[in-house]
Amino acid sequence: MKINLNNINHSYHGKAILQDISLKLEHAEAIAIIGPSGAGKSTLLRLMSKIENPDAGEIFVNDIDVVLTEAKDYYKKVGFVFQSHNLFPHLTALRNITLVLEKVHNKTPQEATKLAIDLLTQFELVEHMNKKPIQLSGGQAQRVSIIRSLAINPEVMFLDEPTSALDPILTREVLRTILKLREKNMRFVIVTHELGFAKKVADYILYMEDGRIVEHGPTSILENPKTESLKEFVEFVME
Amino acid sequence: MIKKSIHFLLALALYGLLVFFIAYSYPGKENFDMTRLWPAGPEIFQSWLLTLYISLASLFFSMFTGFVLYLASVSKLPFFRYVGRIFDEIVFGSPLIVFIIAMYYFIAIPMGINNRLNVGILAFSLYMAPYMKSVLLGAMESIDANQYQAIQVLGFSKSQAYRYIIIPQILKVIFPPLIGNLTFIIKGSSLLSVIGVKELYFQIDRIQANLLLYVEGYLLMFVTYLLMTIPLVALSRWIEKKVSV
Repeated sequence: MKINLNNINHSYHGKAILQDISLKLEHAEAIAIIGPSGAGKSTLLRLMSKIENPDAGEIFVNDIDVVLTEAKDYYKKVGFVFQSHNLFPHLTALRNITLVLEKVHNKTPQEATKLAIDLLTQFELVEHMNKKPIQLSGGQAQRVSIIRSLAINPEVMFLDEPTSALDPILTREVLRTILKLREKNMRFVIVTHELGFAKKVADYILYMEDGRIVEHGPTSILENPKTESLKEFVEFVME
Repeated sequence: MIKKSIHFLLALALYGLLVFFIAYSYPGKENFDMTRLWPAGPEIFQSWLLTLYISLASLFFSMFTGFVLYLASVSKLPFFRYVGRIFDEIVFGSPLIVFIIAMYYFIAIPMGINNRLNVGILAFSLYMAPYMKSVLLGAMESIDANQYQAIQVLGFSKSQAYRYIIIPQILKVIFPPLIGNLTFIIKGSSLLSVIGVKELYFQIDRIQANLLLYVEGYLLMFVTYLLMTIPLVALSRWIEKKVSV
């Protein structure tokens, strides 16, 4: 996956959230964005996934100009998983997946159902396919949401703290699902607080603080941080 | 389950006792005769149908007026928001009977509109607009912001989002309060008698005065209105139950 960020600036109500962020990555497969709360991690992810456009700067994901590309075209190529599952509550788990495939990606109902059931089977959720989100546990719902995103076969998936709303047991369940994504060679960018998990699943780390990327590099930077702030952060989280 | 039905029967018996007590202590009970209303049956049935028609038509048109008011209330232009808000205050502050009289005598007649039935339906459609707007606002708020974000990132077009995601959810939320509004309209429709619409109350009132059957007439009124509203309340509860899972 190629990520190219040029001088990104973004603010909310006059408060600078991201300050002059630039980054060029050519061959990262799984990027984990880590850092303390309020560092701007989720905002950066939301900009890369075009949920918002930056106040200034350019963003390229796999050579696609994110700011200038039409949203409907961009969302045919990328997937997004939110902190909460955001499944549509009136639809079953299966229909949550097939609706997107049929209406946005022009699959026939038969193709969509087959693909969705295949994925639900692979991710051990097929027995829950006819349940509505309210009948699923938080972990199951989040996993269905990941599958919904995966089903469109995106070039890149963005995952915004997908376990932050879950207890530790359900968190493990979801993290296992994300590991499976990695095994399937899915390319993704994940914002996470789970440092141990980031080490396991990512091949590249972005460490952010106060709206800036303070340190970035292969996962080994977590073992040998160059900056004092990453060192402190790792020690603090691992304590 | 058995316990519940025993409680229900006991509650019914309590109301039965009350009716018995009223009937027993009614001074003219020797002359009480519901069968004397029988010849007026077709007329009463026709007015019952007219009341149902007025109510359903008012509900239908109030959905439009309510939607327009809803659009005004969420408009970016403060002018439209104020127009809507002032209308809300007028409706919430005025009794329905005054609103109907004002609509007919001060607006419709000077404008040369004499069709009492249509004016009545229009009055209801306008009076119910703020209530419908509240129902719509509640329904729209029931879809949280996260869903709109999900719609965005999944790539649904606006029309697809409304057709497959927003409207199906809104319909479920909207039904119980909509039926609540319909029962309100049915009960309120009796007030159209003040402008001479020959609905249920107007007809029975006229018949009972002609035949001097006041108690029988009011009793019939009571029952015929309940025949419309009770099934609707039951339907609303059934839908609420269905939707809650």
